Amino acid sequence: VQHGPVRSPSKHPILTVVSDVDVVVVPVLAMLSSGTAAVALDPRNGASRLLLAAGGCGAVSFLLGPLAAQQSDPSAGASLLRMGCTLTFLVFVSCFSGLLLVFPSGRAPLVWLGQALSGLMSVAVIAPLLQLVGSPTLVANGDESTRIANVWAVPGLRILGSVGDVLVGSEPLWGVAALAVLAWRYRRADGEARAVLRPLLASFVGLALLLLLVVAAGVGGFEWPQPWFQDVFVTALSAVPLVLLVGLSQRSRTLHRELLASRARLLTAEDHARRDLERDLHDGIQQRLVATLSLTELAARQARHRPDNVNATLGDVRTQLTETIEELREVVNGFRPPVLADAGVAAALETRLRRLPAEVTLEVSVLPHRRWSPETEAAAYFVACEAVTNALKHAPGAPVRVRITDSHGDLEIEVVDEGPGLPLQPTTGSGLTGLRDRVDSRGGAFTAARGPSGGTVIRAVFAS
Amino acid sequence: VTQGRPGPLRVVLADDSFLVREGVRRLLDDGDDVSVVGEAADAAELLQLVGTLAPDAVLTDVRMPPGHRMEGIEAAHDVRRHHPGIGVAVLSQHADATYARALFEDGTAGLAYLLKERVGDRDELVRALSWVADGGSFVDPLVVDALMSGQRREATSPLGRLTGRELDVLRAMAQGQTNPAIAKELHVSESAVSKHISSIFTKLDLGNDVDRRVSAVVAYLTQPPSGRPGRGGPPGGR
Repeated sequence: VQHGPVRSPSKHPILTVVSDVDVVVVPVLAMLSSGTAAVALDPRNGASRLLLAAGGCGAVSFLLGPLAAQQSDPSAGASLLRMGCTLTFLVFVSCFSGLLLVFPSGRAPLVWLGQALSGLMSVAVIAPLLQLVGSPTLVANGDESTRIANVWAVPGLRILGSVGDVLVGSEPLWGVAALAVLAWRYRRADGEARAVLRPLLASFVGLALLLLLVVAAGVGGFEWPQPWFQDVFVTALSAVPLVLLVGLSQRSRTLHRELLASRARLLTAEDHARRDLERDLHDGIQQRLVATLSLTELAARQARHRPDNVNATLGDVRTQLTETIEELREVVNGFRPPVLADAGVAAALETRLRRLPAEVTLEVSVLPHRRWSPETEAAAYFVACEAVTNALKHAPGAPVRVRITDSHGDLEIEVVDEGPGLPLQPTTGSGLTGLRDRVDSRGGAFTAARGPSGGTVIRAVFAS
Repeated sequence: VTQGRPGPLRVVLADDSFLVREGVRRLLDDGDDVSVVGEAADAAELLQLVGTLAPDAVLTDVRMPPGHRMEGIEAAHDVRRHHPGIGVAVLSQHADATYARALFEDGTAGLAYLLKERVGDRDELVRALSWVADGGSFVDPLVVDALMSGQRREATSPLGRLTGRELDVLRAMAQGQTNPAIAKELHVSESAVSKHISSIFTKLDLGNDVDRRVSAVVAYLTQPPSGRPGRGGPPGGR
């Protein structure tokens, strides 16, 4: 084990600080264990998987490094070891950079950032392979002391090797770019999202300050007491995966809390619906039946005493019963229209919208006999009806377009109005929450946004 | 039943449904024995009408605006408290015992609990209204059944000691039927009815006062299961 400052420009930047390479095992293990815990906690989260992948690749790269250094004579195996060491390290760096882009949700904030991340991962794999086939010499992970002649190199492919060299050499920029994205995400995030990103940003700022001290000391000719400084730096480095793990657990807890809240809201909504139904039946239909019953008794009495009046009373009975049947139909339609079960969501919406003002139009891009599960169709019908009701309420007179689409097997419902649009500050407890809950509960995706030309676009997509 | 009253029974109706009010009014007015003197759409209006019109009896819906819960029962209590001479019959869509218990919690005199289907039988409706106007009590047979089955489910209930025939007699008593009427309905002799009744009163530990027997039965049945001592008489008899 060698102590003392090592600031050879040929070494990887981290090795300028960490002279005792063996201690690198600490952050590598921290990342591996944090990644394992994160994947166990939330296996579907891309950020968890990136953390585990970074930990795994970091560990492999760390193990391959000494093996490569031992094989100091050119051979097929020695070249492969150097290539493998570089490749796993680059994948590690790209995974870690990706984490800064997608933490904690696992989703890139912009589509092209997600594409850039995929591109970066491809480069991490391709660049070492280009070096293997084109470069006359190879090093393990930037360590010049391991440079040997490459027996795999094909002389005619030298240009590919150069491209590989450049790509591999650009690796420090990846992290810098990812850090810039992290800072940008922090800038544009709101309070809650900032609180999640802040510890991560803080730990990187801490690391940057430490590196800055090294550079400053180098410029000033000051030598840090190396073992002490190394420990500080390694500890700070190991803290980063822990910060990520804590953030991912917090997100998992938040999701759990939201799930409980949405379940409670759904139950409340169902409760309200039952109460409304009970009221419709008790105060509407039952009252009508009671009134009709009293009229039949009246008619029976009149038949005995004043037969002339019976016909008029029976006419009233008939009117009452007809209106009762109509009211019953209304109640049932409001609750769950039979046409929904019998003919599907498109037919049910057609029936429903026909009774609404003319500014509501329906576009059906679904084959006549295409059906989804009853629960999915009921949720889609509910969302469309509610969204239309909302649109008519908030944008009276403005055109409303309802579109039902069979989108590669998924059922897509879109309600577009040309009203004043959503309030910029989304209000909690609004009707939108109920719609979102309804869609979430069926595993669908719900979005409510401002339309390109004002107005509101409500979209729900249910997987088939 | 309306003997002792000059002229028709004067009734005020209360129901938030115009259709029901109108139907019941037409039915009750179809005869010389009843005159509907006022109609109210909610409890407040009912109390006001009762104050100004001083009817013999009130027929009120159990749930009315604003809460649509038990406004009719609260109004019945108010009427009885301020006008003890006015009987109140509550028309209810609920056949379960809770609502009847709520109506009879402070006494049974001058109160009736009827299910809405009674509007299909004018004679029974008028009988219940006359009964409460005279300070009597009446409970709809279906509700009596609900009350009795609720109490019989309790292992220690004295109702479990009654025979099937005695239960039939008890049910008829709760509807205010006289001994001859009970005898006719059950196809037994009047003396057999008297024997059943005294047996019931002994088993249930109720006083054997014939005038109070409906309220005695109602009081027994409507006591919440926990607070039922074996007491001798109804709390709110005449």
